Amino acid sequence: MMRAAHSAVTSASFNIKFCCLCGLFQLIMRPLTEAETKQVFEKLSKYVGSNIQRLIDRPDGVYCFRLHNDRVFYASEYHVKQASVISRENLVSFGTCFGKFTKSGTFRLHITALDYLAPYATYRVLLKPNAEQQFLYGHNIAVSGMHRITDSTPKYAGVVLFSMGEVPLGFGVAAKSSLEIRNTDPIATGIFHQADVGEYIRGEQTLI
Amino acid sequence: MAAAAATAEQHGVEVDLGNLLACDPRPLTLTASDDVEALIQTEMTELAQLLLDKVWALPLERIEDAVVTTLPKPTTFLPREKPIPKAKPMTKWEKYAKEKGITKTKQSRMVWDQTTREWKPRWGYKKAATEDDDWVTEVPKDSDGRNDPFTEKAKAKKERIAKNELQRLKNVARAHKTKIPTGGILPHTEGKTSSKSQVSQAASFARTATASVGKFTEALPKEAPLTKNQGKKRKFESNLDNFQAEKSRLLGIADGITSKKPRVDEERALGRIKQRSAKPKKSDRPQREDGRGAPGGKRTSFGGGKFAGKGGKGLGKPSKGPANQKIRKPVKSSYRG
Repeated sequence: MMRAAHSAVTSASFNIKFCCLCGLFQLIMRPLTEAETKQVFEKLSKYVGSNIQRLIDRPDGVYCFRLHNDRVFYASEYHVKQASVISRENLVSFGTCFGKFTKSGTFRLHITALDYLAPYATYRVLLKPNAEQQFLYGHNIAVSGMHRITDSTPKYAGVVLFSMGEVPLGFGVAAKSSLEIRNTDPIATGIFHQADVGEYIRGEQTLI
Repeated sequence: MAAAAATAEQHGVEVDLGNLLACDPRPLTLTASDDVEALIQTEMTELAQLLLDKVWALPLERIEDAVVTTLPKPTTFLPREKPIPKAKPMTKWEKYAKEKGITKTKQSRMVWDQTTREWKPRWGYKKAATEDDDWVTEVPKDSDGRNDPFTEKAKAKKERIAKNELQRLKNVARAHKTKIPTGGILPHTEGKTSSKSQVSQAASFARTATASVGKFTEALPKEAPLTKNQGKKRKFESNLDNFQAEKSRLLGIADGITSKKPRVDEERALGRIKQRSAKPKKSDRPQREDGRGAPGGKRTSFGGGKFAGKGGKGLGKPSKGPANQKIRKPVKSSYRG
């Protein structure tokens, strides 16, 4: 549904205000440095484990990560080349934004990465329909709202949340391990909210 | 009262009008029946009367309804409030002059100005003309005519001022017993000679420390060409070249991160140990049809290809790993919706 906007190179000249806020240096599109790559991969590995390799080594083409305007974009070689033609002030997005580096230098995953990470998720949680709505409004999930969870999910592991119909809904962090969950109070928090597809509407202006 | 004052004076009471002080050195003779307070009060009254009599005896003046007088110089020396200030540490010249017996002769404030033919102050406002004010000057015989004598004079004066300032700072440093700063840009290393690299770095700094950043600095004979004293420049990988090399680089980093993770899931292992120790005997175990009774009971398998083949956008085959993992129902049947 919203996917179409994120797979193509997008340019805009109306976005001048946004670009003026950041220094010219950050606007340079460039590959990630080794430290930055490690930071990004460490975050991704929380959700997909060793399946990061599948994102890099793909049979359908060469895909890579690029930093532009503090955001990390995952794009094919073709899209990177196309994007490099657009002047950096006007370049807003290309490929898919996986997340951004905050001002303090930590990497934060965005919901736009969901389509790429969900198929490889190590730990999955299925949500009940009523909890699903709660989650999409940006709330944590109580234990009672969880329909199923992957066996052997450790505490504080990154999980991908799905609806009962296996539609990916967002990212979360397991507040309790799958073993603990069985013996806890149903109203206790089971999943901490990280990102959800509701952000496509709630954060429409900031999401790239 | 006047009579009492006169007798007091006869008995050697000292009065210091400059300090408004009256002092009776006679010892008090007391008997057991005397009222001490009353005695002291009468003595004091007598002394105060004596003091005021002497004040009124001074020549008086009337200035705007007020009677005033000038007190004589005090005769009693009071101890000073603060300690005597320490002598200022001598400058190098003062020390030398003392050794040699050179005494400072006071220069007169006014000097004779030959041009205007009048006395003028040596320095300051409307001072007498000095050679700095000459509008014409001789060119020295040995001059090659290239240098402006006025500029040279100004330069020499500037240098004299700078030298004096340096000497002043040195005197201050000596007085405070701190290290005397050395000239130059090299850090002051005590007792150590500067290394070759330090000296060459200093030399290259000196060469570039001009208005044109060393562009017109003449090189000394056999001097190496100027190297730029630049810091390390940040370099990023190329944006478009060599996607394959980048891919292998990324794979290497990914491999390093994923291989770091421990193979043993601690929590799961701990859970198993707990279960094993808490396992009741077979005869005690409740037998239930659905097998969900005990915590270690039968697991509900969820995988079986339910997630398999759901990879969107043709992203390879996620058949390995996650899709085949078992997914467990998290909660007891009592609150499952």
